[in-house]
Amino acid sequence: MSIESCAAVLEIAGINKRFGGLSVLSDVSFEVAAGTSLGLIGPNGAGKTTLFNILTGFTTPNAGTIRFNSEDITKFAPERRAALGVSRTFQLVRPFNGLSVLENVMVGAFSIEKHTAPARKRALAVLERVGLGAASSMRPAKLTLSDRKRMELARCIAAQPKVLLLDEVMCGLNPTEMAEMIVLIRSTKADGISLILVEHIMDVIAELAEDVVVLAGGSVISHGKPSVVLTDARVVEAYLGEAYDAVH
Amino acid sequence: MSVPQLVDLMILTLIWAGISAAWNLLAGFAGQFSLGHAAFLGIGAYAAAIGAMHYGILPWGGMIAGALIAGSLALVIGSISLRMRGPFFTLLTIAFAEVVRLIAIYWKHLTNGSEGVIIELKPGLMNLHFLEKWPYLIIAGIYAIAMGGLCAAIRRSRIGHQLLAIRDDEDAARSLGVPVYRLRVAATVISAVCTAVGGSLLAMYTQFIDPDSTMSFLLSVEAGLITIVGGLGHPWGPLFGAILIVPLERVLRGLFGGVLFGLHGVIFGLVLIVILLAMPDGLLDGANRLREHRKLRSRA
Repeated sequence: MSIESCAAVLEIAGINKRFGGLSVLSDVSFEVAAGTSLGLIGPNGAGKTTLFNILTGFTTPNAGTIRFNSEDITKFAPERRAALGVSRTFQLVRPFNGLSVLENVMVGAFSIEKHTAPARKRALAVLERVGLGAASSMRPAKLTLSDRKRMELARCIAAQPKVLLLDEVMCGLNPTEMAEMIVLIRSTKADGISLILVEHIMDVIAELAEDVVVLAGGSVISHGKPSVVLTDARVVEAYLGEAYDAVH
Repeated sequence: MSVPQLVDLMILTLIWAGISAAWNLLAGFAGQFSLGHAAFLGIGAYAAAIGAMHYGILPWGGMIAGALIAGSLALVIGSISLRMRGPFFTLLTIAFAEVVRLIAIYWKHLTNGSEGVIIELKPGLMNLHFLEKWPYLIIAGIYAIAMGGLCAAIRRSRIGHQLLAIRDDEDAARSLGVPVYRLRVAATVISAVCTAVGGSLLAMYTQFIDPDSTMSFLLSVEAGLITIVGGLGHPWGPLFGAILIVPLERVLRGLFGGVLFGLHGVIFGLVLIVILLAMPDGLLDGANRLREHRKLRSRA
């Protein structure tokens, strides 16, 4: 791996967030290396969603900085971050229900294309790739949950982000659908998109993430390779309950 | 019904189709429901009328001035209401329109107050004033088609996709890089400008304006009603809505207006309820569904 591809695409430093008197995140710092995937795990209420919202600009931190390719984006609005290349999916899929599946993906494509014809072409190519080519003229409401999740991913891919934050993409999927989704996410990564995955399913984290950050009670309690982190005594105690065994 | 009456009805229908299309751009595309469009309509009407009668400006010039004033006010309203959504935006537009209406009533020096302004000009295209009705029909037709065409073009474009995305889910749109606030203000301004142009045309056609006929709250409701009946968010929905609503209102008033005061309003309301129960997403959507239904049946 060259030195350049090891550079951090996203640097999170000293993030603090309080809601009134409640401290939700305290001194959260980590980096995402370009072209890698980072798994963000932790028990419910650990602050994962808040951190996600802070990274994408929907929530402002009380302290700390976020740098994207060395640029301080802490005060940037979500749309400005997205235009730079930081995009996200939502835990509960949020399709544009008044638009067709194709048009949903075109909204993503329009963030890099100005005109309709190239945007449509790009969107169609992405839909083919995620296996939704045949559904392009349908309304999202008619799709299965798994297909809606693919559509949401396609919408993001069409915008060609540099960093993509995936909020529990596996949630609600059956094992077959999950396996397909893993293939899809891997191909996304192969495009050079860095990923942050919030996930409760450790198989997925072990499968996809090079790096794992464990949040508990608003602090990073462990950070490192999945094989190390998932057997870390503190992580086991705070979250997993038992050591993760990748062989099972 | 005589031919002139029929032409009169067609002219009003077309002008209202255009005004409603402008309303549709904001409500159907950007998801911002305005009940203050009567203000923009009135500003267009007054700018053309006052400009021509008091300042010797050609009605075309007055139309442009009205559009500019309406656009500037919409820029202010749009910017104030950036973070307002749903009912809050609607309430703001109602209050705004009421203020504009009261100004029109009390700034008598400029507007002639409740007495209104009679427009008398030398006939000709320059003065947008004709002895015959057909030139008005052509101009109204051009306006209606231009407005529907504008909506259709926007719907196919980048901005159209982004506006509909904002309407359906603002946060999801933002996380795809859609400049939500800028687009929402732009939609408000374009909608106001187009509405003002319709107001100018309405004034030049009726040749008399007063605050009631150009700025009443009911006119804002009318634009919304036509759009929702025709198909909210469909570029040509307002045209179909206007073709149904405008003549229906007139015909019912003609038939029952003299029988019992307010009876035509009751019947009009009942007809609307039935239409919206049968086709909750408007005429265009209803027609589409009927076509699909037929297709399925013929296949079976």
